[in-house]
Amino acid sequence: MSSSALLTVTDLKKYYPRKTGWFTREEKWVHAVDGVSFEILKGETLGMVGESGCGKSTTARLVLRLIEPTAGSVSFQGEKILTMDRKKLKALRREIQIIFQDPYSSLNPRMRIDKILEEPFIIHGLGTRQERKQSVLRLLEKVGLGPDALSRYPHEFSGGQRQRIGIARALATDPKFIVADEPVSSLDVSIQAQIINLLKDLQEEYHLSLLLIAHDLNMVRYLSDRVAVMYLGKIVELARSDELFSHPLHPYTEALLSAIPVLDPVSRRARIVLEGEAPSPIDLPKGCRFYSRCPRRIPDCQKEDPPLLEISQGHHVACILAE
Amino acid sequence: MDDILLKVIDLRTYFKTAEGVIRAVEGINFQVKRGKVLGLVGESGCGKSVTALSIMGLIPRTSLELFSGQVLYKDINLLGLTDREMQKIRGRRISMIFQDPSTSLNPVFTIGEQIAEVLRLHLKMGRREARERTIDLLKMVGIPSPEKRYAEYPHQLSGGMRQRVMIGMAISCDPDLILADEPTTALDVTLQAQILGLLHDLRERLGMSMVLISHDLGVIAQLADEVAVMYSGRIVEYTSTRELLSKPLHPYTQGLLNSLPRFTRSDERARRLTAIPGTVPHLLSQPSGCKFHPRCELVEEMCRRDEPLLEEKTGHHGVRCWRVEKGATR
Repeated sequence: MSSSALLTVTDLKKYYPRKTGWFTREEKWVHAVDGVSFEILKGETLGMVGESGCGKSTTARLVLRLIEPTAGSVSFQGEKILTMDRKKLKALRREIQIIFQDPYSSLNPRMRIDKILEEPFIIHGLGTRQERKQSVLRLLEKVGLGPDALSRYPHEFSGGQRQRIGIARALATDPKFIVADEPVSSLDVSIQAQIINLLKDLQEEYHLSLLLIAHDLNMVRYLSDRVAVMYLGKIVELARSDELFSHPLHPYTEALLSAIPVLDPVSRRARIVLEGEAPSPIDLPKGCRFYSRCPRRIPDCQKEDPPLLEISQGHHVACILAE
Repeated sequence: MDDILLKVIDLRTYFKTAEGVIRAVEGINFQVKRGKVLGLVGESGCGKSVTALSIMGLIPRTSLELFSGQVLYKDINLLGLTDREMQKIRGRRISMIFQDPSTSLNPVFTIGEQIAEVLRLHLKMGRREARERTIDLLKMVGIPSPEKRYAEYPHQLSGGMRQRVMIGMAISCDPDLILADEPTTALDVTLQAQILGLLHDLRERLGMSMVLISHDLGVIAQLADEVAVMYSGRIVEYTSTRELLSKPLHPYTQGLLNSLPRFTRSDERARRLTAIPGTVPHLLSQPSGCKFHPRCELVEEMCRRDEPLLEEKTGHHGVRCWRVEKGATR
């Protein structure tokens, strides 16, 4: 592992129990996240893509320790997050923050904006009252809102403005690392670019590391330095953004990329249309988990689950056919 | 003309609310040619869904302040029909696919029964015939083991499968026109590609016309022959899909296209996205003049004062903007 990694995730797993039957004792497990490893460097944006249910949001929550993992480890600046006591964890939360998908449910409707933005400072005991007020004003300005926002309530703002407030709140404690879980997907198209630009500016200004979770592949490509593709709880491909989008090696990545609608009516290009849907994460197939939908499958794929291997420099793929 | 299946003339749909009148659709005109797909694109609140519901006569009259204009299907004005007459057209000649397949199917009937009901009602089929035809339809929309699926309830199917069932129901009576309101928005990209492919095939095979409503220009580009861009209850640009994507003329359309990352150039990541400033106006407090003027870069005095009309600027390319000259090519 390289020394400049800010966050290192090793073999992270989260299984949820699912009882079957009324009287049987047999328990089945939903393999939501099934052995995920990656690292995020300082100032880097790692994009994480995949379809709903692939485990990308669960991974984000595990990294922040909002939920407890079944196994694996997460270390931030060399310290293990998963074994920290409450006090240390609270101190750590200054450094790592999250921006949520839905700007409607992630702001308390009964709190005025000045209180929402001051709260992180109070929780972490930062600054005097006067200093906090100053900081809140500075934050608002950073995200492009005026001081008149202070005395208003969340319902008085549009979705885009609320997302700006959510971003300001995440920035309050001057974090080093932010998880952005679908930050623009609930916004109108004409507003999305405003928020994407804001994220890009702030990232450069604060030298932030970002874990960006999204299903909009073009947006992920635009914002990320590296991209991880998840399928059924595992990373199947991980590479530099441009490399992954121009030379995808895993058949799932290829299919995913070919499914992006192109803004060009002339080249309605040949798609790799996948058969069926992802199998249930409860009864995982033996061998490669993409086998049932893979257009290039061969009998050997069913022998064992292929590990994520570095095929060329920085390009990791979990497929026995990749060279 | 004979090849025009649906013609919407000066459609207006205003809602009564406690806070005032909401002018959701404000005098729109468009036509759908036989066998062609018209895309309606716009952001939330632009009136695209209300347009579809208005065509289908699915808006409760009691909530309406004004409902005027004409919707000519062949030569029949749908707005002039009684509820009973409309019921014979709805689902039979014109059918609709909704955005959310999990709320638009009835949870207490099996999917087979729900499709068979449409056939029995509209085509007066018998029980057995309806069942056979339903199984054919399920097969046609790509549902594996349709005999087994016939007896399953909506909750037993995945989102993509449910949307296939909705499409099967929509095409069950071999309609002339399908209104598809955000048919893939609730689905993942690979499923979206499957459903768009299915709609494309069905249209080729059955020769149906379609109005495809979406906020996603990428989806529109895949299927539509012509596009109408809506903003604040009005059509602001109306032309062929090819023309719209290569030579957009309205500042709003240009803004939408520029705000999306497009990787046709290798240095795209270094480009700053050009965002459209401000927000979509609230329908209760619309600006004067051109409804887009508070967000427009080209705004001048005239735009604030008077509202422009949708005018043909070059061949078959209508734009609602004072600043676009006649004969403009961008």
